[in-house]
Amino acid sequence: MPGAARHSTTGRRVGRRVVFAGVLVLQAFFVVRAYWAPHNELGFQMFPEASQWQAEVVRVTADGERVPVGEPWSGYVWSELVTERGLGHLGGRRHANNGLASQVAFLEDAMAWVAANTPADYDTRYYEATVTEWHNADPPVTYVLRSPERELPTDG
Amino acid sequence: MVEPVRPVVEPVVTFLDTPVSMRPLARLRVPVGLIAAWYLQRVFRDGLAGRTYHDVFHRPYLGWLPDLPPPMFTAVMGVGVAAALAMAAGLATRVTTKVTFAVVVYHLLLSATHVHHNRTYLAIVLGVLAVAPCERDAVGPAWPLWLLRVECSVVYAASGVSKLLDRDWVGGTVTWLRVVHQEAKVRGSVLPGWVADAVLDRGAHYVFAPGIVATELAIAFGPWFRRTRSWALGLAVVFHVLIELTSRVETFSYLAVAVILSIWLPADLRGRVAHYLRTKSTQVA
Repeated sequence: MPGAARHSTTGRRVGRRVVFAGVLVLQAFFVVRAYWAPHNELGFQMFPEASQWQAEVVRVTADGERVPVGEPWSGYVWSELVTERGLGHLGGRRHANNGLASQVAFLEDAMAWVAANTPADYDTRYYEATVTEWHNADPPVTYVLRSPERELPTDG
Repeated sequence: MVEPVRPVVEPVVTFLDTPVSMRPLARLRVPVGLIAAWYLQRVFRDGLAGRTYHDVFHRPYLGWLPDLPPPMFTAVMGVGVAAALAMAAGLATRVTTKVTFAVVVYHLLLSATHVHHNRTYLAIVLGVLAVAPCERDAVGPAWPLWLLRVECSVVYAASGVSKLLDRDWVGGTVTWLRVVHQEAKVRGSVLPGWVADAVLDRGAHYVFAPGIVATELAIAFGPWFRRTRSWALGLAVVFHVLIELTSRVETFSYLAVAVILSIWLPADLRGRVAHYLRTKSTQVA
């Protein structure tokens, strides 16, 4: 069936061209997106900054107490829950490996994850981080991040 | 095809269909398989020890991606390791390359915390290898090879251009501060005192930083021209050796050098290296 074979070859050729062009368009999109996306996936912006950051994270309990997450609570240990991206051991001033935006976005996500994944905690309302960042040689900037508020279980 | 663009587009797309030897990609399977195996075996071993992403902070990219139970997740990573090793060994490469690609991409998509530049580059390279003909002596349409060449250039060009557009980077502030933050390590290293003084000197970075940007751009565009190709490849090797010595970038240096040499090393130079190796082995024998 030479006609069918020719049809299949043409189809394959067109498919190849579509894949080739599609990959290039996608790659171009990710390279441009990296200029505003915090984690710049597939944007290949290597060693982007010499920035540093520091965060003091506390749990704010139902009675308003502010307890550093360095202290274990309700059977949880922060450094066992958050192990990646230099977020396990907080407190000291450290380098922002993939830039400040990425680091702070991960910290915010980590607080939200811990807030949502600690069911045995009947006490914490939310997590709060006091972040100080040094963008390259710029003066430091300090601000506060807060996790979503938790609904405290009533059977505790 | 739309008539006005036909004269421009037609030669390019015909070029992509031109049959070429797939040997460069077949060769590349060996280091890329080993690098993928190295990456996945750490995840696999953590899984065997009961440490998986499930119990720690992670941020999935796709809500619908299946969250396999830890034992099954560990088994999938184990399959990935086996497939990557088989791919490197040249066993059933048509299947093992695709499986390795799928497992690596699955692991990356499970959490943003898994993603690093070297791993996404690994996924891209695996993706190209997965769609290319696998046999060592295969001849196939040129497009996978050209796609990998473009991607290889994109990695350096995107990095170089982003630095070029950043005044802090191209002006030397970033490189200088990175060294200053590590001053104790630099002073305690094997570097002679005068070299340590030089790299810690702010003035040196007015030259050093633009030099890095120029190097990245040279590696991105140099291989595309016959006259500059060998220089660009040599520069890439030196550049990655320096990165490997001064930074922690997982397997990026090995992957980058393997890719750029496999897909760009001129045939005559490759022949000379092969001849040298044959001669040496004959002498040893």
